[in-house]
Amino acid sequence: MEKENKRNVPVCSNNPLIAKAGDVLRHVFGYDSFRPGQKRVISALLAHQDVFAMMPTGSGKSICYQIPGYLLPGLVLIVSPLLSLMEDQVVSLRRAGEKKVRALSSMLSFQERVRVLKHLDEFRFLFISPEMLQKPSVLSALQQVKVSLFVVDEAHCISQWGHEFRPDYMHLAEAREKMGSPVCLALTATADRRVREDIIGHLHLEKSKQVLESVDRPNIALVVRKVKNNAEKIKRLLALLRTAKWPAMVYCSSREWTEKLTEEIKSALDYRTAFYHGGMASEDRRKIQNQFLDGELDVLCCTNAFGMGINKSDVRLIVHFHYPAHLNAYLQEIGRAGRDGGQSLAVLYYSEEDDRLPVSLIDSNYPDETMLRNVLIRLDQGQLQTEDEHQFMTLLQSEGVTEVAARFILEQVKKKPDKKPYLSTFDDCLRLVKERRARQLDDLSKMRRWIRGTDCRRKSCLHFFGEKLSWRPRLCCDRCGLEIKDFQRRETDRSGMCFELNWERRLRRLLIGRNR
Amino acid sequence: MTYGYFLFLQLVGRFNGERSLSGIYHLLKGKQSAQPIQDSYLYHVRPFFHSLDTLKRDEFDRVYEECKEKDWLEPSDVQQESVRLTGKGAAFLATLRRKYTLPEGIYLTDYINEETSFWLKLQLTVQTLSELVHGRNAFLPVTRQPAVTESVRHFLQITPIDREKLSGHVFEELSRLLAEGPDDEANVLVGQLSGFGTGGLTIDQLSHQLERDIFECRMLHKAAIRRMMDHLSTRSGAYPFLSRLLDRKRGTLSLSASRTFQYINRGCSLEEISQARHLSRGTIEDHIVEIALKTNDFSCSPYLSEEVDQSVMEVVSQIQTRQLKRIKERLHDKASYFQIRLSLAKHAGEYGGTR
Ligand SMILES: [Zn+2]
Repeated sequence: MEKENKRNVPVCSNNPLIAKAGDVLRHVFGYDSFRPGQKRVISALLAHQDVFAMMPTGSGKSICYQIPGYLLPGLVLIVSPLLSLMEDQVVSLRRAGEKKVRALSSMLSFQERVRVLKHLDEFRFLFISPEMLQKPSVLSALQQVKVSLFVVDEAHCISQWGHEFRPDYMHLAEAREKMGSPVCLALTATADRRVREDIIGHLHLEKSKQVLESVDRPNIALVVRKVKNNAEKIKRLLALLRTAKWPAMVYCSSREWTEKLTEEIKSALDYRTAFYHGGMASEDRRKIQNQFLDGELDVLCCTNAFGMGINKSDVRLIVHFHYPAHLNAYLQEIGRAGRDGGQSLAVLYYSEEDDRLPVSLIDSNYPDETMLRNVLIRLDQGQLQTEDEHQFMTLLQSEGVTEVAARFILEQVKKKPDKKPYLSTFDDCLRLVKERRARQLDDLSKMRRWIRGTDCRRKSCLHFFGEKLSWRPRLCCDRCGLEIKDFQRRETDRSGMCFELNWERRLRRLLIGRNR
Repeated sequence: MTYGYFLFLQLVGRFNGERSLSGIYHLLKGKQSAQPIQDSYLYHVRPFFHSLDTLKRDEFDRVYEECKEKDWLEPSDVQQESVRLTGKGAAFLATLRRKYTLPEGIYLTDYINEETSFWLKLQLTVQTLSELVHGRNAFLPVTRQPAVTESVRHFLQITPIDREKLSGHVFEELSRLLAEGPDDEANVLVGQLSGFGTGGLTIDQLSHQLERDIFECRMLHKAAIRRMMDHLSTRSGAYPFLSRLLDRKRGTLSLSASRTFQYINRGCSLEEISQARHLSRGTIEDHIVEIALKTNDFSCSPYLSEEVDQSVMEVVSQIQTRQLKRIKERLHDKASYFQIRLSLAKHAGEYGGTR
């Protein structure tokens, strides 16, 4: 595996294309230098070479396709799995002054969609959801324009081993071919070997240039603390928040916990605290997200529903109140700290009682045998139909199947060959459940081994990803003698302004510009 | 929570065991189906319809459980899954009534169907203008609903003045509008607005910040919205900009019922409408009942004879109920359910006041 050292790479270069890329980096995006990996990705793309790039969360992945957008003739098409992620990317490009950027997703009104498709040749960047890319009308419109770069963002979604598997990612290679096989860039954050092989296989990137950055984020110190029970966890968390730097994110395993901790923090400390989880109305989620981005919150208690696409550079502390089921997710979640390069801290608390949680979470991803058989039989008898996918999902969920498990069933029965009864897929389904479950349990046991390990946290984490630790930052981890008091807030770091609650002042602040 | 009790116990008292708990929940949520719409008229609880549209079922159930534990409720004998007030419950409700009232604006129910859409449009308009006047042309919008996005885009396009001026006008009109209602309502409403560098607060956050019951905050919010829509429709001349955000064409009828109404006005019979619209007879009947409830001069005579109407009303005054089954039994099936509902709808305004 190629490695670069941690210093940023100066932009000066003898290669004229790279020199141009450096100009764009400075003038459009306002950075002085490339970050590790960016330059190698960009120069390969500019030389029309496919690239598979693995770069840790928060390392500036998007620059890798944004800069070629200004140097290659034609459209840069970026496939992105999440609406929030797309929106965020569009906003950050617009803020850099780019007007020729759009996002094409099911959330657009019909008129808006038509408008976008009509003007494809006028855009520089088009973000698109994988399901949109499967629509014949969209594909044929894309065939009419020159796509210079085909970007697959969050490419780990293509892997069945990945924890965020998206079946509609499986069709991307085909779509790319139909567009005349433009140069492809597959981007992913931390992914282990198996996931990487899956990505490369599915996207036919065997001959691509591979840029694999270390998953390590040296500016994030790692601490794991064992506690007796939840009560002690809360006590420790409050003590930590009392002195450590914000803004902070506290990851919890459930909606209830995010709300409970918010209450605890609010009543014990005078911090601006809010919760965020998937059960909230989408408008409310957006409000909380904006408050956090705008620096109106000190602490955010959230489930893993919060994260992807959140581009806040100055998060100083990530707490895991419950540990995630795999190291990938852990790295992704702590990777939201310190994107500005500033020193940050990640603290994970665990107690024996947490060990039950992830297993039941994994099990809830799959239907049990009885349920599976029952659904297949009802499909054969015509009591259930899959034409209306939404209806199918809702019905199963009303019978107590989780959303993920319902999607699993749907995904399997859709693959059934014609003329064969649904029940014939039963054994295959079970085998798949067993396989995936075993894999996830394996991931989980790695996570646990890491938590209980006695070696340097950074070293052992890298080990799981097949890397060796090349250098150890001064503030490394609890095993290397790190003390949380190294991260004390200065007296001068005060919590920011409170919410403006007087309606007249608030309205004035909102609607009257500064220059009045 | 006490404001939540206040709302819940009032409705329990009003329905008096004749409607299920789900009936109460659907009324508060403003479910667009025949039963809750009809209930809101027949039991004189129209202001409550759609008043807590964001209420979650588990939240509602919690209020119910707590009221039950306090012995304020007893099971009803006339309707399944239904409760009525105990003596203790009625006494407590009387105490709450001295402490709380419903905000005045809640009674302005003419634009109930537009509430959600108007509120989203208002939020998005303010956010967009706020970001623009602060020099930011890219932001994460508070809502992504295509219809809302389209109409705000339209609002900004048809206003041929620069953004700063438009923002100033919106500020001025909003200030004037809100100043007409109590500050409580204005604070709750504006507190939720997002814009440049300022994320709107959720109702839950506002309830903590203002140290007020979350149900009360929701009611204040709803009152503010209804008051605004009322002013914008009756005095649109005074609010040339904001009144454009209110779709005044849509009446109080649900979308499907208003289509049925068009057929009726063209002289179609119930059967003809049912055939033309490919809807069941029952659905069309639901529509006609809704129309009878919401349209003052609507004539029920094609569906309900004078004689049947009279006998229904007699039974109602004798046994003091609006439960269809009991009325039908007393009439020895001389009237159909549809006719009873229609008769009740026709006379909905005649018994008992709302306040
Ligand atoms: Zn270490």
